[in-house]
Amino acid sequence: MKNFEYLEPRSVQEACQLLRQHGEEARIFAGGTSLSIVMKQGFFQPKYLVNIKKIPDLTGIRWDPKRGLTLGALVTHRELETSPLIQETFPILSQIEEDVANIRVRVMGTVGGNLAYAEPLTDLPQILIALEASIRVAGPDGDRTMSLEELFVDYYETSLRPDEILTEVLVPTPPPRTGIEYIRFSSSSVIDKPCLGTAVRFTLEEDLETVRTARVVLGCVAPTPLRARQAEALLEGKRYEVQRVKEAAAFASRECKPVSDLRGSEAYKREMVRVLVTRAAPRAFEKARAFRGQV
Amino acid sequence: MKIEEVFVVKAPIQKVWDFLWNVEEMVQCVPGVEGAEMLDPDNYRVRLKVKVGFISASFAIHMKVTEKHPPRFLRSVCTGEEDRRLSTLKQNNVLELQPLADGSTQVTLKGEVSLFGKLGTLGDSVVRGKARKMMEEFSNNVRTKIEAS
Ligand SMILES: Cc1cc2nc3c(=O)[nH]c(=O)nc-3n(C[C@H](O)[C@H](O)[C@H](O)COP(=O)(O)OP(=O)(O)OC[C@H]3O[C@@H](n4cnc5c(N)ncnc54)[C@H](O)[C@@H]3O)c2cc1C
Repeated sequence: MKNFEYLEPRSVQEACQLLRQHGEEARIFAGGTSLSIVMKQGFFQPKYLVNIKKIPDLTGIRWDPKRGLTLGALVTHRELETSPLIQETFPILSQIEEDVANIRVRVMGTVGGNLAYAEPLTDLPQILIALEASIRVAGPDGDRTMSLEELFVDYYETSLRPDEILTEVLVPTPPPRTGIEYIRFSSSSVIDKPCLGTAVRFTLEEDLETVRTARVVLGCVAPTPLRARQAEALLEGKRYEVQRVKEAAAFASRECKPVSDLRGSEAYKREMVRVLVTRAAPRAFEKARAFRGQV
Repeated sequence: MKIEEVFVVKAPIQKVWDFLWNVEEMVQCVPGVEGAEMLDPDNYRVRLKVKVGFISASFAIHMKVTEKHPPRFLRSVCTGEEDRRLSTLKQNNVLELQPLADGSTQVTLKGEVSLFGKLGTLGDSVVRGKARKMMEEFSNNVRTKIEAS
Protein backbone atom coordinates (compact mmCIF):
# COMPACT_ATOMS: atom_id res chain seq x y z
CA MET A 1 0.00 0.00 0.00
CA LYS A 2 1.30 3.47 -0.86
CA ASN A 3 1.68 6.18 1.75
CA PHE A 4 -1.23 8.54 2.21
CA GLU A 5 -2.07 11.42 4.46
CA TYR A 6 -4.67 10.63 7.07
CA LEU A 7 -7.13 13.40 7.86
CA GLU A 8 -9.56 13.37 10.75
CA PRO A 9 -12.24 16.07 10.47
CA ARG A 10 -14.53 16.65 13.47
CA SER A 11 -17.56 17.93 11.55
CA VAL A 12 -19.37 17.17 8.31
CA GLN A 13 -18.60 20.65 6.97
CA GLU A 14 -14.90 20.25 7.69
CA ALA A 15 -14.92 16.87 5.94
CA CYS A 16 -16.65 18.35 2.85
CA GLN A 17 -14.13 21.18 2.71
CA LEU A 18 -11.25 18.70 2.82
CA LEU A 19 -12.83 16.71 0.02
CA ARG A 20 -13.31 19.85 -2.06
CA GLN A 21 -9.74 20.98 -1.39
CA HIS A 22 -8.13 17.68 -2.41
CA GLY A 23 -10.56 16.63 -5.15
CA GLU A 24 -9.90 13.29 -6.83
CA GLU A 25 -6.86 12.67 -4.63
CA ALA A 26 -8.98 12.28 -1.49
CA ARG A 27 -11.41 9.58 -0.44
CA ILE A 28 -13.76 9.16 2.48
CA PHE A 29 -12.81 6.35 4.81
CA ALA A 30 -15.52 4.95 7.10
CA GLY A 31 -15.23 1.33 8.29
CA GLY A 32 -12.61 0.66 5.65
CA THR A 33 -13.84 -2.88 4.97
CA SER A 34 -14.15 -2.26 1.24
CA LEU A 35 -11.73 0.58 0.66
CA SER A 36 -8.80 -1.10 2.40
CA ILE A 37 -9.10 -4.07 0.01
CA VAL A 38 -8.77 -1.99 -3.17
CA MET A 39 -5.98 0.02 -1.57
CA LYS A 40 -4.06 -3.08 -0.54
CA GLN A 41 -4.50 -4.58 -3.99
CA GLY A 42 -2.93 -1.41 -5.35
CA PHE A 43 -5.54 -0.26 -7.80
CA PHE A 44 -6.68 2.69 -5.79
CA GLN A 45 -4.07 4.92 -4.23
CA PRO A 46 -5.54 8.07 -2.74
CA LYS A 47 -3.18 10.73 -1.43
CA TYR A 48 -5.58 11.67 1.35
CA LEU A 49 -7.90 9.53 3.40
CA VAL A 50 -10.63 11.50 5.09
CA ASN A 51 -11.66 9.41 8.08
CA ILE A 52 -15.23 10.35 9.03
CA LYS A 53 -15.49 8.01 12.00
CA LYS A 54 -14.88 10.78 14.54
CA ILE A 55 -17.84 12.89 13.39
CA PRO A 56 -20.54 12.50 16.03
CA ASP A 57 -23.32 13.83 13.77
CA LEU A 58 -23.01 10.77 11.55
CA THR A 59 -23.80 8.23 14.24
CA GLY A 60 -26.94 6.88 15.83
CA ILE A 61 -30.23 5.19 15.13
CA ARG A 62 -33.34 7.28 15.76
CA TRP A 63 -37.01 6.48 15.49
CA ASP A 64 -39.88 8.89 15.30
CA PRO A 65 -43.34 7.42 14.65
CA LYS A 66 -44.14 10.25 12.22
CA ARG A 67 -40.81 10.65 10.39
CA GLY A 68 -39.73 7.07 10.56
CA LEU A 69 -36.28 5.63 11.04
CA THR A 70 -33.07 7.63 10.70
CA LEU A 71 -29.78 5.80 10.38
CA GLY A 72 -26.59 7.81 10.67
CA ALA A 73 -24.15 6.95 7.89
CA LEU A 74 -21.75 5.47 10.45
CA VAL A 75 -24.24 2.97 11.85
CA THR A 76 -22.58 -0.41 11.44
CA HIS A 77 -24.08 -3.63 10.14
CA ARG A 78 -23.64 -5.02 13.63
CA GLU A 79 -25.63 -2.18 15.17
CA LEU A 80 -28.49 -2.86 12.76
CA GLU A 81 -28.33 -6.51 13.66
CA THR A 82 -28.39 -6.04 17.42
CA SER A 83 -30.27 -2.78 18.06
CA PRO A 84 -33.44 -3.42 20.09
CA LEU A 85 -34.99 -0.40 18.36
CA ILE A 86 -34.44 -1.94 14.92
CA GLN A 87 -35.60 -5.33 16.11
CA GLU A 88 -38.81 -3.70 17.29
CA THR A 89 -39.52 -1.38 14.33
CA PHE A 90 -37.78 -2.90 11.29
CA PRO A 91 -37.00 -6.53 12.22
CA ILE A 92 -36.40 -7.26 8.51
CA LEU A 93 -33.16 -5.28 8.80
CA SER A 94 -31.80 -7.06 11.85
CA GLN A 95 -32.78 -10.44 10.43
CA ILE A 96 -30.94 -9.91 7.14
CA GLU A 97 -27.90 -8.50 8.88
CA GLU A 98 -27.25 -11.88 10.49
CA ASP A 99 -26.39 -13.14 7.00
CA VAL A 100 -24.43 -10.15 5.72
CA ALA A 101 -20.71 -10.78 5.21
CA ASN A 102 -18.97 -12.07 8.34
CA ILE A 103 -18.77 -10.78 11.89
CA ARG A 104 -15.55 -8.81 11.28
CA VAL A 105 -17.05 -6.93 8.32
CA ARG A 106 -20.31 -6.38 10.20
CA VAL A 107 -18.56 -4.85 13.18
CA MET A 108 -16.56 -2.38 11.08
CA GLY A 109 -18.61 -1.86 7.92
CA THR A 110 -21.11 0.98 7.89
CA VAL A 111 -24.47 1.57 6.25
CA GLY A 112 -23.08 4.69 4.52
CA GLY A 113 -20.15 2.71 3.13
CA ASN A 114 -22.38 -0.14 2.02
CA LEU A 115 -24.50 2.26 -0.05
CA ALA A 116 -21.86 4.74 -1.23
CA TYR A 117 -19.52 2.03 -2.47
CA ALA A 118 -22.24 0.92 -4.92
CA GLU A 119 -20.84 -2.55 -5.21
CA PRO A 120 -23.31 -4.69 -7.12
CA LEU A 121 -23.35 -7.70 -4.76
CA THR A 122 -24.97 -6.30 -1.61
CA ASP A 123 -28.17 -6.72 0.37
CA LEU A 124 -29.21 -3.52 2.10
CA PRO A 125 -30.09 -1.45 -1.01
CA GLN A 126 -32.85 -3.82 -2.11
CA ILE A 127 -34.62 -3.74 1.26
CA LEU A 128 -34.19 -0.01 1.73
CA ILE A 129 -35.40 0.83 -1.79
CA ALA A 130 -38.43 -1.43 -1.31
CA LEU A 131 -39.20 0.58 1.86
CA GLU A 132 -38.83 3.83 -0.14
CA ALA A 133 -35.84 5.07 1.80
CA SER A 134 -34.16 8.35 0.98
CA ILE A 135 -30.72 9.66 1.84
CA ARG A 136 -29.39 12.96 3.07
CA VAL A 137 -26.25 14.22 1.48
CA ALA A 138 -24.05 17.06 2.71
CA GLY A 139 -21.78 19.12 0.50
CA PRO A 140 -19.76 22.31 0.91
CA ASP A 141 -22.74 24.29 -0.41
CA GLY A 142 -25.38 22.68 1.79
CA ASP A 143 -27.52 19.58 2.13
CA ARG A 144 -29.83 17.77 -0.25
CA THR A 145 -32.15 14.80 -0.01
CA MET A 146 -32.76 12.23 -2.70
CA SER A 147 -34.41 8.85 -2.98
CA LEU A 148 -31.96 6.02 -2.40
CA GLU A 149 -32.78 4.67 -5.83
CA GLU A 150 -31.26 7.79 -7.41
CA LEU A 151 -27.93 7.19 -5.67
CA PHE A 152 -26.95 4.24 -7.84
CA VAL A 153 -25.59 4.99 -11.31
CA ASP A 154 -23.41 2.08 -12.40
CA TYR A 155 -20.98 -0.49 -11.01
CA TYR A 156 -19.20 1.26 -8.11
CA GLU A 157 -20.58 4.59 -9.29
CA THR A 158 -23.02 6.88 -7.49
CA SER A 159 -24.58 10.26 -8.11
CA LEU A 160 -22.62 11.73 -5.18
CA ARG A 161 -20.24 14.50 -6.14
CA PRO A 162 -16.64 14.00 -5.04
CA ASP A 163 -17.01 16.52 -2.20
CA GLU A 164 -20.30 15.15 -0.88
CA ILE A 165 -20.93 12.89 2.08
CA LEU A 166 -23.87 10.63 2.63
CA THR A 167 -24.96 11.62 6.12
CA GLU A 168 -28.22 9.79 6.85
CA VAL A 169 -30.61 7.19 5.56
CA LEU A 170 -34.28 7.92 6.19
CA VAL A 171 -36.75 5.05 6.11
CA PRO A 172 -40.33 6.32 6.28
CA THR A 173 -42.76 4.80 8.75
CA PRO A 174 -44.40 1.96 6.85
CA PRO A 175 -48.05 2.62 6.04
CA PRO A 176 -50.59 0.33 7.74
CA ARG A 177 -50.97 -3.12 6.19
CA THR A 178 -47.40 -3.27 4.90
CA GLY A 179 -45.29 -6.41 4.69
CA ILE A 180 -41.85 -7.05 3.24
CA GLU A 181 -39.86 -10.18 2.53
CA TYR A 182 -36.25 -10.37 1.45
CA ILE A 183 -34.64 -13.53 0.17
CA ARG A 184 -30.89 -13.58 0.00
CA PHE A 185 -29.48 -16.37 -2.08
CA SER A 186 -25.84 -17.45 -2.22
CA SER A 187 -24.97 -20.08 -4.77
CA SER A 188 -21.48 -20.93 -3.53
CA SER A 189 -21.45 -20.71 0.27
CA VAL A 190 -23.70 -19.00 2.79
CA ILE A 191 -20.99 -16.56 3.82
CA ASP A 192 -20.28 -15.55 0.24
CA LYS A 193 -21.61 -12.32 -1.16
CA PRO A 194 -25.12 -12.83 -2.47
CA CYS A 195 -25.69 -14.29 -5.93
CA LEU A 196 -29.14 -12.72 -5.83
CA GLY A 197 -31.19 -10.64 -3.42
CA THR A 198 -34.90 -10.19 -3.93
CA ALA A 199 -37.15 -7.88 -1.93
CA VAL A 200 -40.92 -7.87 -2.31
CA ARG A 201 -43.05 -5.39 -0.39
CA PHE A 202 -46.79 -4.95 -0.37
CA THR A 203 -49.05 -2.35 1.18
CA LEU A 204 -52.65 -3.51 1.07
CA GLU A 205 -55.98 -1.72 0.93
CA GLU A 206 -58.32 -1.98 3.93
CA ASP A 207 -59.96 -5.07 2.45
CA LEU A 208 -56.65 -6.89 3.05
CA GLU A 209 -56.96 -8.38 -0.44
CA THR A 210 -56.10 -5.60 -2.85
CA VAL A 211 -52.52 -4.49 -3.39
CA ARG A 212 -52.19 -0.71 -3.06
CA THR A 213 -48.39 -0.56 -3.44
CA ALA A 214 -46.03 -3.24 -4.70
CA ARG A 215 -42.27 -3.07 -4.75
CA VAL A 216 -40.13 -5.73 -6.38
CA VAL A 217 -36.47 -4.86 -6.01
CA LEU A 218 -33.75 -7.10 -7.38
CA GLY A 219 -30.11 -7.07 -6.38
CA CYS A 220 -26.98 -8.49 -8.04
CA VAL A 221 -28.67 -8.87 -11.45
CA ALA A 222 -27.72 -5.51 -12.98
CA PRO A 223 -25.01 -2.91 -12.44
CA THR A 224 -27.28 -1.29 -9.83
CA PRO A 225 -30.17 -2.47 -7.66
CA LEU A 226 -33.14 -2.75 -9.97
CA ARG A 227 -36.85 -2.15 -9.48
CA ALA A 228 -38.85 -4.58 -11.59
CA ARG A 229 -41.36 -1.91 -12.57
CA GLN A 230 -43.43 -4.03 -14.93
CA ALA A 231 -43.84 -6.65 -12.24
CA GLU A 232 -44.87 -3.95 -9.77
CA ALA A 233 -47.39 -2.44 -12.20
CA LEU A 234 -48.95 -5.82 -12.80
CA LEU A 235 -49.55 -6.33 -9.08
CA GLU A 236 -50.66 -2.85 -8.05
CA GLY A 237 -54.34 -1.92 -7.78
CA LYS A 238 -55.49 -5.53 -8.13
CA ARG A 239 -56.47 -8.37 -5.88
CA TYR A 240 -53.55 -10.46 -4.73
CA GLU A 241 -53.68 -13.71 -6.68
CA VAL A 242 -51.20 -16.55 -7.01
CA GLN A 243 -51.48 -16.59 -10.79
CA ARG A 244 -50.75 -12.86 -10.99
CA VAL A 245 -47.70 -13.29 -8.77
CA LYS A 246 -46.44 -15.95 -11.16
CA GLU A 247 -46.86 -13.56 -14.08
CA ALA A 248 -45.16 -10.76 -12.18
CA ALA A 249 -42.25 -13.06 -11.34
CA ALA A 250 -41.90 -13.91 -15.04
CA PHE A 251 -41.82 -10.17 -15.81
CA ALA A 252 -39.14 -9.60 -13.18
CA SER A 253 -37.08 -12.40 -14.64
CA ARG A 254 -37.21 -10.70 -18.04
CA GLU A 255 -36.63 -7.20 -16.69
CA CYS A 256 -33.34 -7.95 -14.96
CA LYS A 257 -29.97 -7.93 -16.73
CA PRO A 258 -27.80 -10.54 -15.08
CA VAL A 259 -24.31 -11.39 -16.27
CA SER A 260 -22.99 -14.96 -16.27
CA ASP A 261 -20.23 -15.33 -13.72
CA LEU A 262 -18.77 -17.75 -11.21
CA ARG A 263 -21.96 -17.57 -9.15
CA GLY A 264 -24.20 -18.71 -12.02
CA SER A 265 -25.07 -18.30 -15.67
CA GLU A 266 -27.36 -15.57 -16.93
CA ALA A 267 -30.14 -18.10 -17.58
CA TYR A 268 -29.77 -19.59 -14.10
CA LYS A 269 -30.00 -16.17 -12.46
CA ARG A 270 -33.08 -15.24 -14.47
CA GLU A 271 -34.74 -18.46 -13.41
CA MET A 272 -33.77 -17.86 -9.79
CA VAL A 273 -35.26 -14.36 -9.91
CA ARG A 274 -38.52 -15.92 -11.04
CA VAL A 275 -38.38 -18.51 -8.26
CA LEU A 276 -37.45 -16.02 -5.53
CA VAL A 277 -40.11 -13.45 -6.45
CA THR A 278 -42.70 -16.25 -6.47
CA ARG A 279 -41.50 -17.32 -3.03
CA ALA A 280 -41.14 -13.89 -1.46
CA ALA A 281 -44.50 -12.49 -2.59
CA PRO A 282 -46.84 -14.74 -0.54
CA ARG A 283 -44.73 -14.17 2.57
CA ALA A 284 -44.82 -10.39 2.08
CA PHE A 285 -48.58 -10.61 1.53
CA GLU A 286 -49.17 -12.62 4.72
CA LYS A 287 -46.98 -10.22 6.69
CA ALA A 288 -48.97 -7.27 5.32
CA ARG A 289 -52.24 -8.86 6.43
CA ALA A 290 -50.82 -9.46 9.90
CA PHE A 291 -49.23 -5.96 10.15
CA ARG A 292 -48.79 -4.73 13.74
CA GLY A 293 -46.76 -1.58 13.10
CA GLN A 294 -43.43 -3.21 12.28
CA VAL A 295 -41.95 -4.66 9.10
CA MET B 1 -15.78 -14.95 -21.35
CA LYS B 2 -17.47 -14.75 -24.74
CA ILE B 3 -19.36 -11.73 -25.97
CA GLU B 4 -21.20 -11.38 -29.24
CA GLU B 5 -22.74 -8.30 -30.81
CA VAL B 6 -24.69 -8.25 -34.06
CA PHE B 7 -25.67 -4.96 -35.63
CA VAL B 8 -26.65 -3.52 -38.96
CA VAL B 9 -24.95 -0.52 -40.54
CA LYS B 10 -26.82 1.39 -43.23
CA ALA B 11 -23.88 1.37 -45.65
CA PRO B 12 -22.51 -0.97 -48.33
CA ILE B 13 -20.09 -3.68 -47.25
CA GLN B 14 -17.04 -2.05 -48.88
CA LYS B 15 -17.59 1.19 -46.99
CA VAL B 16 -17.93 -0.68 -43.69
CA TRP B 17 -14.81 -2.70 -44.42
CA ASP B 18 -12.80 0.40 -45.33
CA PHE B 19 -13.74 1.97 -42.02
CA LEU B 20 -12.91 -1.12 -39.99
CA TRP B 21 -9.67 -1.80 -41.79
CA ASN B 22 -8.46 1.69 -40.94
CA VAL B 23 -7.51 0.19 -37.58
CA GLU B 24 -6.15 3.35 -35.99
CA GLU B 25 -9.52 5.03 -36.62
CA MET B 26 -11.61 1.98 -35.79
CA VAL B 27 -10.12 1.43 -32.33
CA GLN B 28 -11.08 4.99 -31.40
CA CYS B 29 -14.64 3.62 -31.28
CA VAL B 30 -13.68 1.52 -28.24
CA PRO B 31 -14.68 3.58 -25.19
CA GLY B 32 -11.58 4.55 -23.22
CA VAL B 33 -9.03 4.30 -26.06
CA GLU B 34 -6.56 7.13 -25.57
CA GLY B 35 -4.31 6.56 -28.55
CA ALA B 36 -3.38 4.09 -31.26
CA GLU B 37 -0.25 3.73 -33.32
CA MET B 38 0.40 1.52 -36.34
CA LEU B 39 3.63 -0.49 -36.13
CA ASP B 40 2.95 -2.19 -39.47
CA PRO B 41 -0.38 -2.90 -41.19
CA ASP B 42 -0.91 -6.00 -39.04
CA ASN B 43 0.39 -4.71 -35.70
CA TYR B 44 -0.83 -1.83 -33.55
CA ARG B 45 -0.09 -0.33 -30.17
CA VAL B 46 -3.19 0.88 -28.33
CA ARG B 47 -3.62 2.67 -25.01
CA LEU B 48 -6.84 1.94 -23.17
CA LYS B 49 -8.14 3.45 -19.95
CA VAL B 50 -10.99 1.61 -18.27
CA LYS B 51 -12.93 3.28 -15.50
CA VAL B 52 -15.11 1.40 -13.05
CA GLY B 53 -16.56 3.90 -10.62
CA PHE B 54 -13.69 5.65 -8.85
CA ILE B 55 -11.17 3.03 -9.92
CA SER B 56 -9.38 3.32 -13.22
CA ALA B 57 -6.86 1.10 -14.94
CA SER B 58 -4.73 1.89 -17.99
CA PHE B 59 -3.58 -0.85 -20.31
CA ALA B 60 -0.84 -0.91 -22.93
CA ILE B 61 -2.21 -3.23 -25.58
CA HIS B 62 -0.64 -4.92 -28.56
CA MET B 63 -3.15 -5.74 -31.26
CA LYS B 64 -2.18 -8.18 -33.96
CA VAL B 65 -4.28 -8.91 -37.02
CA THR B 66 -3.97 -12.64 -37.57
CA GLU B 67 -6.30 -13.27 -40.49
CA LYS B 68 -8.15 -11.10 -42.99
CA HIS B 69 -10.36 -11.72 -46.02
CA PRO B 70 -11.51 -8.34 -47.33
CA PRO B 71 -14.26 -7.27 -47.23
CA ARG B 72 -15.79 -9.94 -45.01
CA PHE B 73 -13.59 -11.24 -42.25
CA LEU B 74 -11.04 -9.92 -39.78
CA ARG B 75 -9.49 -11.85 -36.90
CA SER B 76 -7.27 -10.18 -34.33
CA VAL B 77 -5.75 -10.85 -30.97
CA CYS B 78 -5.06 -8.26 -28.29
CA THR B 79 -2.70 -8.74 -25.39
CA GLY B 80 -2.13 -6.10 -22.78
CA GLU B 81 -0.74 -5.27 -19.41
CA GLU B 82 -2.05 -2.81 -16.86
CA ASP B 83 0.40 0.00 -16.15
CA ARG B 84 0.88 -0.95 -12.50
CA ARG B 85 1.18 -4.62 -13.51
CA LEU B 86 -1.95 -5.46 -11.59
CA SER B 87 -3.55 -7.37 -14.41
CA THR B 88 -3.06 -8.67 -17.90
CA LEU B 89 -5.68 -9.17 -20.53
CA LYS B 90 -6.07 -11.21 -23.64
CA GLN B 91 -8.83 -10.79 -26.16
CA ASN B 92 -9.54 -12.72 -29.35
CA ASN B 93 -11.78 -10.89 -31.80
CA VAL B 94 -13.57 -11.91 -34.94
CA LEU B 95 -15.38 -9.41 -37.17
CA GLU B 96 -17.66 -10.75 -39.89
CA LEU B 97 -19.45 -8.62 -42.46
CA GLN B 98 -22.40 -9.75 -44.48
CA PRO B 99 -24.15 -7.72 -47.19
CA LEU B 100 -27.93 -7.54 -46.82
CA ALA B 101 -30.49 -7.37 -49.62
CA ASP B 102 -31.34 -3.72 -48.89
CA GLY B 103 -27.74 -2.62 -49.43
CA SER B 104 -26.85 -2.38 -45.75
CA THR B 105 -24.32 -4.55 -43.93
CA GLN B 106 -24.66 -6.86 -40.97
CA VAL B 107 -21.68 -6.84 -38.65
CA THR B 108 -21.05 -9.71 -36.25
CA LEU B 109 -18.49 -9.06 -33.59
CA LYS B 110 -17.33 -11.97 -31.45
CA GLY B 111 -14.95 -11.39 -28.61
CA GLU B 112 -13.40 -13.69 -26.05
CA VAL B 113 -11.92 -11.74 -23.18
CA SER B 114 -9.74 -13.05 -20.37
CA LEU B 115 -8.58 -10.82 -17.55
CA PHE B 116 -5.96 -12.16 -15.17
CA GLY B 117 -4.72 -10.64 -11.92
CA LYS B 118 -5.93 -8.39 -9.18
CA LEU B 119 -8.57 -6.38 -11.03
CA GLY B 120 -10.73 -9.49 -10.78
CA THR B 121 -11.25 -8.49 -7.11
CA LEU B 122 -13.83 -6.01 -8.32
CA GLY B 123 -15.98 -9.01 -9.13
CA ASP B 124 -16.27 -11.42 -11.95
CA SER B 125 -19.69 -10.11 -12.97
CA VAL B 126 -18.39 -6.53 -12.94
CA VAL B 127 -15.53 -7.35 -15.31
CA ARG B 128 -17.89 -9.22 -17.60
CA GLY B 129 -20.61 -6.59 -17.40
CA LYS B 130 -18.12 -3.84 -18.16
CA ALA B 131 -16.69 -5.75 -21.14
CA ARG B 132 -20.18 -6.32 -22.49
CA LYS B 133 -21.04 -2.65 -22.13
CA MET B 134 -17.84 -1.59 -23.87
CA MET B 135 -18.61 -3.90 -26.77
CA GLU B 136 -22.13 -2.42 -27.06
CA GLU B 137 -20.74 1.11 -27.07
CA PHE B 138 -18.15 0.13 -29.65
CA SER B 139 -20.87 -1.22 -31.94
CA ASN B 140 -22.94 1.94 -31.53
CA ASN B 141 -19.96 4.16 -32.25
CA VAL B 142 -18.97 2.19 -35.34
CA ARG B 143 -22.49 2.39 -36.73
CA THR B 144 -22.90 6.09 -36.01
CA LYS B 145 -19.53 7.03 -37.46
CA ILE B 146 -19.96 5.08 -40.69
CA GLU B 147 -23.52 6.26 -41.22
CA ALA B 148 -22.51 9.88 -40.59
CA SER B 149 -19.60 9.79 -43.04
C1 LIG C 1 -15.74 -10.15 2.76
C2 LIG C 1 -16.89 -9.20 2.54
C3 LIG C 1 -18.17 -9.72 2.45
C4 LIG C 1 -19.25 -8.85 2.24
N1 LIG C 1 -20.51 -9.37 2.16
C5 LIG C 1 -21.56 -8.53 2.04
C6 LIG C 1 -22.89 -9.04 2.02
O1 LIG C 1 -23.12 -10.23 2.13
N2 LIG C 1 -23.91 -8.15 1.89
C7 LIG C 1 -23.69 -6.80 1.81
O2 LIG C 1 -24.64 -6.03 1.74
N3 LIG C 1 -22.44 -6.30 1.81
C8 LIG C 1 -21.38 -7.13 1.93
N4 LIG C 1 -20.12 -6.62 1.94
C9 LIG C 1 -19.94 -5.17 1.75
C10 LIG C 1 -19.94 -4.47 3.08
O3 LIG C 1 -21.25 -4.24 3.46
C11 LIG C 1 -19.23 -3.15 2.88
O4 LIG C 1 -17.89 -3.51 2.80
C12 LIG C 1 -19.36 -2.17 3.99
O5 LIG C 1 -20.65 -1.88 4.37
C13 LIG C 1 -18.67 -0.88 3.56
O6 LIG C 1 -18.68 -0.01 4.67
P1 LIG C 1 -17.35 0.68 5.18
O7 LIG C 1 -17.79 1.61 6.25
O8 LIG C 1 -16.34 -0.34 5.58
O9 LIG C 1 -16.89 1.45 3.88
P2 LIG C 1 -15.42 1.92 3.45
O10 LIG C 1 -14.65 0.74 3.02
O11 LIG C 1 -14.83 2.79 4.49
O12 LIG C 1 -15.82 2.80 2.20
C14 LIG C 1 -16.39 2.23 1.04
C15 LIG C 1 -16.61 3.33 0.01
O13 LIG C 1 -17.67 4.18 0.37
C16 LIG C 1 -17.22 5.53 0.51
N5 LIG C 1 -17.93 6.04 1.70
C17 LIG C 1 -17.99 5.46 2.93
N6 LIG C 1 -18.82 6.14 3.73
C18 LIG C 1 -19.29 7.19 2.99
C19 LIG C 1 -20.20 8.25 3.26
N7 LIG C 1 -20.80 8.38 4.45
N8 LIG C 1 -20.46 9.13 2.27
C20 LIG C 1 -19.90 9.01 1.05
N9 LIG C 1 -19.03 8.01 0.74
C21 LIG C 1 -18.73 7.12 1.69
C22 LIG C 1 -15.72 5.45 0.64
O14 LIG C 1 -15.10 6.58 0.13
C23 LIG C 1 -15.41 4.23 -0.21
O15 LIG C 1 -15.36 4.57 -1.57
C24 LIG C 1 -19.03 -7.45 2.14
C25 LIG C 1 -17.72 -6.94 2.23
C26 LIG C 1 -16.67 -7.79 2.43
C27 LIG C 1 -15.28 -7.20 2.55
